[in-house]
Amino acid sequence: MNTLTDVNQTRPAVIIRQLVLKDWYFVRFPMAAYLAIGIGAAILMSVPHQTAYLIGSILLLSVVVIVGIHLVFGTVTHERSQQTLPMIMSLPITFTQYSAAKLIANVGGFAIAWSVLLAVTVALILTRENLPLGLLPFAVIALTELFAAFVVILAVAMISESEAWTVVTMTILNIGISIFLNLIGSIEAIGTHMGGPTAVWNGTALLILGIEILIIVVAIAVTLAAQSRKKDFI
Amino acid sequence: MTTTSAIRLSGVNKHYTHFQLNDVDLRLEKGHIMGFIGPNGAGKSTTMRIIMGLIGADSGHVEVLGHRVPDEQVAAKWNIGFASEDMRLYKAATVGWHMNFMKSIYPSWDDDYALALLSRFDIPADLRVKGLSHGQRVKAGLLLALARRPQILLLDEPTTGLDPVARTEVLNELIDVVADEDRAVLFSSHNTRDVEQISDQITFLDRGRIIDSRDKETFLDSWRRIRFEAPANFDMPELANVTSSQLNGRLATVTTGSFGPEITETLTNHGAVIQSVDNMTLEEIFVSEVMSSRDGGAA
Repeated sequence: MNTLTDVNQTRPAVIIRQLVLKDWYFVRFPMAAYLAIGIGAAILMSVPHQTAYLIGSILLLSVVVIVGIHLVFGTVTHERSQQTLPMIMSLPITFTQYSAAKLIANVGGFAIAWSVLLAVTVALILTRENLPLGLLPFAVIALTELFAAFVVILAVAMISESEAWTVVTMTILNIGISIFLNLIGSIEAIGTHMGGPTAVWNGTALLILGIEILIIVVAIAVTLAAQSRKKDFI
Repeated sequence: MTTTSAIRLSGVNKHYTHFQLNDVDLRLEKGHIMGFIGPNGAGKSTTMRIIMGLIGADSGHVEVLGHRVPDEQVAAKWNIGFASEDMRLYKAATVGWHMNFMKSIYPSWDDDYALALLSRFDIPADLRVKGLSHGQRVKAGLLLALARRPQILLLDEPTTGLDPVARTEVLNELIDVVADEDRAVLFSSHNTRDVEQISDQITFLDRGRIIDSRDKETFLDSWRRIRFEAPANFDMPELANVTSSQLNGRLATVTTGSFGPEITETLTNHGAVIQSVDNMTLEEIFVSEVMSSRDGGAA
């Protein structure tokens, strides 16, 4: 006969899902607004005018960065500073399960917004004549760098439990975006093909993309490992 | 057949830079309300958080309903309702949203009871938490803990900041909870009147140590303040179990935590004229215990 305890012990997946839905519920309106702005920015990029393209691309990058900031502060940092963490940690979950829920909510939430923006960007490059197809690898690398930066910021926020360290990491990585993009553009194997008629996925482009994906995977693994070793949760 | 305690702590230690919980032993059986009394910073919240598995003890053994904490904290937490003074609800969400959230997690959630509490506590379900008064927020937190029908309630300063009416509502609800003999409540407070009103067991904590733990009636029955008039050149006799004694001119006061007729007999034999033997309130007992503990024993 199944006791209530037996039934309860099969429920961590249910609780993790509820925690993810809870986090998304609290950021649903700003995320929808950012998504709309992001799509608007992508459309602006397709206008056959250099200024419009520049404004659109800056706006697009900014929106992706802001989505990340909002998610990390809205679901991780504020949970601690606004003292809602004791209520959540009093639920029948381990800290590892709680951390898994945070990662799913944040990485998942960011991935949804990011994927839409990536799809729109790729679609524009593929369909608009004023945007060279050679821009595609650079655009994918640039957007993936934003994803990697977001996951690193999330990892720092969760592991350090410190608003100050989160802000410092966020500032450094976001300032680093323009440096990174300039650096990537200046690499001959990337830069020379950006204005070309075909997308060149050479070894350099794939290596950079691979490193970015590796950073994402390692940051997630380190976060889970660090969180599972903690003894004090509040 | 052995019965499982609701909560059992033995030799629990937790060290922080400016505070240390020392060798805490505690036992709470089902069907009882234990008042956990201590001044601010005594270690009440730390102890409760260790019981909940929210922080880990450096050493010692913690067991809740037979489950070792923190290793088996998930199994333990299914049966614990926790509310604490520093626990907040989501300001942007309504109480109704919080109720649905808890209901989605706990199969034991009791809708009828939750609605009854909502009405009894006078909490609007459709109002966002940020629009509630402090008292309503505290009561909403308690509602969320109570309506899942846990076997143990851990309440850390649940009545702090509540007006007398709200406090009475909360305390009455807790008394109803332990009408069910399988349930237990650990209730921390520095308000001894609340604790005296509802608890049947009392534990005093000070500076990270448990200084006394007994059932309430024993506490109240065993403590007395004896006032007497001392003769000239009165020399205070050696009295067993006296926690404090004061001689002010010819008027003297002796406080004891294990009163017996031998104390008044000894005083009378030394020429004292007993003026009164008074019962003490829990607050007076608590203060005496703390002062005695800090002085390292009888004054």
